[in-house]
Amino acid sequence: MWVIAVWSIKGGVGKTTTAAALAALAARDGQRTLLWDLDPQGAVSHWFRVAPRHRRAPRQLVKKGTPLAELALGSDLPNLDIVPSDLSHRALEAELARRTHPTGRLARKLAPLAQVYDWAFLDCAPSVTLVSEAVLAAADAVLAPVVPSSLSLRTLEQMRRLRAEAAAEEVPLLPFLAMVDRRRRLHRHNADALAGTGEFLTTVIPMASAVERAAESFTPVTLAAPTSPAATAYMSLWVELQQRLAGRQARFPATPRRV
Amino acid sequence: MRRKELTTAAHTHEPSERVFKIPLRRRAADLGRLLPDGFTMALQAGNTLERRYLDTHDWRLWAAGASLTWESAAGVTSLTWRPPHLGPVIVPRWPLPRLAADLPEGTVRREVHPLIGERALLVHGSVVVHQRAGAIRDQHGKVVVRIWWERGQCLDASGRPSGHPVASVRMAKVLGFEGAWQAVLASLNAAPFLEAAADSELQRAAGARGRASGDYSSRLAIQLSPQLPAAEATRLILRRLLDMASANLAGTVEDIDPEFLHDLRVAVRRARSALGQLTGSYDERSHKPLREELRWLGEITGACRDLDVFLADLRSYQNELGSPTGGELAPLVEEVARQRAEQHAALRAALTSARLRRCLALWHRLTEPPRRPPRAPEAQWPTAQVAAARVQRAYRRMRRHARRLPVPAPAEGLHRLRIDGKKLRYLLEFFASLWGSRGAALIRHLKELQDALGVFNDLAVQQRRLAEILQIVLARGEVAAATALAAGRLAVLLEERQAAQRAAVAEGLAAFFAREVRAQVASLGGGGGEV
Repeated sequence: MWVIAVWSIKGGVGKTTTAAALAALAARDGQRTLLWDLDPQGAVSHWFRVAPRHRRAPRQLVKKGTPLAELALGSDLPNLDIVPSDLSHRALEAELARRTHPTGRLARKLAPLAQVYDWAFLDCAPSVTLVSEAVLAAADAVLAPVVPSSLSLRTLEQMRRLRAEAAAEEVPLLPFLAMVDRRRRLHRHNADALAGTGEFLTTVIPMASAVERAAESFTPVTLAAPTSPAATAYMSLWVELQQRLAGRQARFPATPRRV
Repeated sequence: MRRKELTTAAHTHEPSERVFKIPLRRRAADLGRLLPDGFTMALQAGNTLERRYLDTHDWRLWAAGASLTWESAAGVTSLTWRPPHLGPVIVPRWPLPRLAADLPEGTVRREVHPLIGERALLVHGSVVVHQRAGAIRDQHGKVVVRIWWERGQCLDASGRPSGHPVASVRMAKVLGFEGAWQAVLASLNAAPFLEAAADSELQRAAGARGRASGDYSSRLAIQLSPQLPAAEATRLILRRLLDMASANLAGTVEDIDPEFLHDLRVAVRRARSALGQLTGSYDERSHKPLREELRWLGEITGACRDLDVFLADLRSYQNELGSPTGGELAPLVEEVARQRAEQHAALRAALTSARLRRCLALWHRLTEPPRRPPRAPEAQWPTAQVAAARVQRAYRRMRRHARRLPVPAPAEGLHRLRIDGKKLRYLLEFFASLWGSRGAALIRHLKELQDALGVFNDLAVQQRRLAEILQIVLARGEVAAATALAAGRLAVLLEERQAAQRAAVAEGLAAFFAREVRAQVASLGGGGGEV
């Protein structure tokens, strides 16, 4: 099972859209997929019309004994399950802080799921917390959407530093340009400059009203407007992600098993 | 109350799907009206597709309560995997798979490969389906049940419609919405127009091709009664083995997968063993020609099977050793594959020969009820008595041979012991129905020993074959030094493993000839006494 965190310490850069689009694409390709909403805003849960069922969901997410699979709910899409979130999940940070070895807690929850799921996408909150460190300890790669603004490189540099401090430098940080509006001169200039650094994935996600319309209809853009430039870009990102992972060993490999 | 639920995707575990049969004249709205308050059903526009049910020759997926189908509609294809517990996995745009390696990476291959191993996937049934997919939603608009409204027409082996079309509604539950699932099921169970049916679409589709789910298995499962005359039991055993051999002939000739030849050889070996060990239960004179023909059949199938096994072993070592050693062994693998193709051509000629047809006719004749009672000395003895005596004799012989082995035991001696064990196992399997759990326990004990001896013998054979193949490619002068070195590394590995395996063999021998197992063998009856 590949665990992909979609993370940025900056808000409003398209994390949820990206996580939902990639998870939907994986599920469409016949891969059993889990989308774990780690953001207390619960945007991805709202999108997929699911909400946490348990009163103490944040505690169950970190304590031993409750399998993560029991907290997952089927989405409207075949092969795609969601671990939902809501405002109560702001307690997740505090729950982690109370535990021994807090940064390994999410990894331990994910490990058994390798027998069921092929992909787990983590939709992370735009923050720097213990949860972020736990995510880095569980992920095979971090996808980082970057809006082409002047502060973007600085944000990316901060994320690299955090990754180093979390001793997770072996986890590839895969930045890509998102919400690019090439009609705007500044976006055009910054996007070209950032792409020129060679550090970014080649896929560029354009700013598109199709994404907003898709969110209104509770549907990932790749399904709501599959021929739109944004959907096409996400399909390209999905392919590029798989290419980047080819030849690598998943942190939680699945072992062949009898059903 | 009459049970309206018809078939389930899984017949051994809590299913994630239900299938209901529905009269052809019914419309989707009829079903929608049945749903509990707050639930709505919506179906997409229909499309027509051809669905093929895939499984191995011996129905391994069906036996696991799973199914694999390949669908094609106007050039658009997909593969649907239905495991017993979880919902279906649909992989779009996927070509018709033949082997596990052809399956999509991820869930489908991970779950199907351990079930089918190296067996090929064959089409066991074909249905033209008019399908409308859709969903049942709750009051929040959330999909809580997935639904497929279908009208299927089975096709026979030549692609012509067979039987009447059948309409059905397949429903799959959505994870975490158990309450909604149960509510929907309860409402449909109460519907007057949902009719009970005893078969699934797979069964109907297989039936249209003259097959039945589970109609072939390599398990013997011969039902014998204790008082049955031994001659009759021998005839029934030979008949079952003839059926097994016949069921694997075409697949061996067509070279569909290596298991056809394996099962054919096992049937022949079991038949030879039955005739060799049940002398006294049948007329020697009438069966002697069959014994000779079975020996011939054993000989002609041996070389190809040995190469099948060695090829699979070499490929497995290639994977295990990884790069670069695995890659450097490639010329040896190619040589084994070449030899195997040659041997298979010879085998195909033998299996399509007049001699083979005569052999099968003879075998068949001897499994027909005899016109006169056989006059062999033990022909009329009760099967239970003959069976127990033969098992006890085989066990004693095996134990005697084991005790005479020097320490450390030579590989040839352990190989002979393994052959003794095979004969004993065949006897236990022929007569398993007489002894129930006692026989099953003995087979289990023996299997543990046979597995240990088998691994030891395989490692000895692999070393010998590796040296032979290396000689051949070296003599041709086509092989790089790296390949010779890789073969050397593999030979060392095999030798080390064989030496380590001696401990498992010794442990297996001690366990199988322990007092409690001897008592179990003695308890089979037959007046054999202390073993």
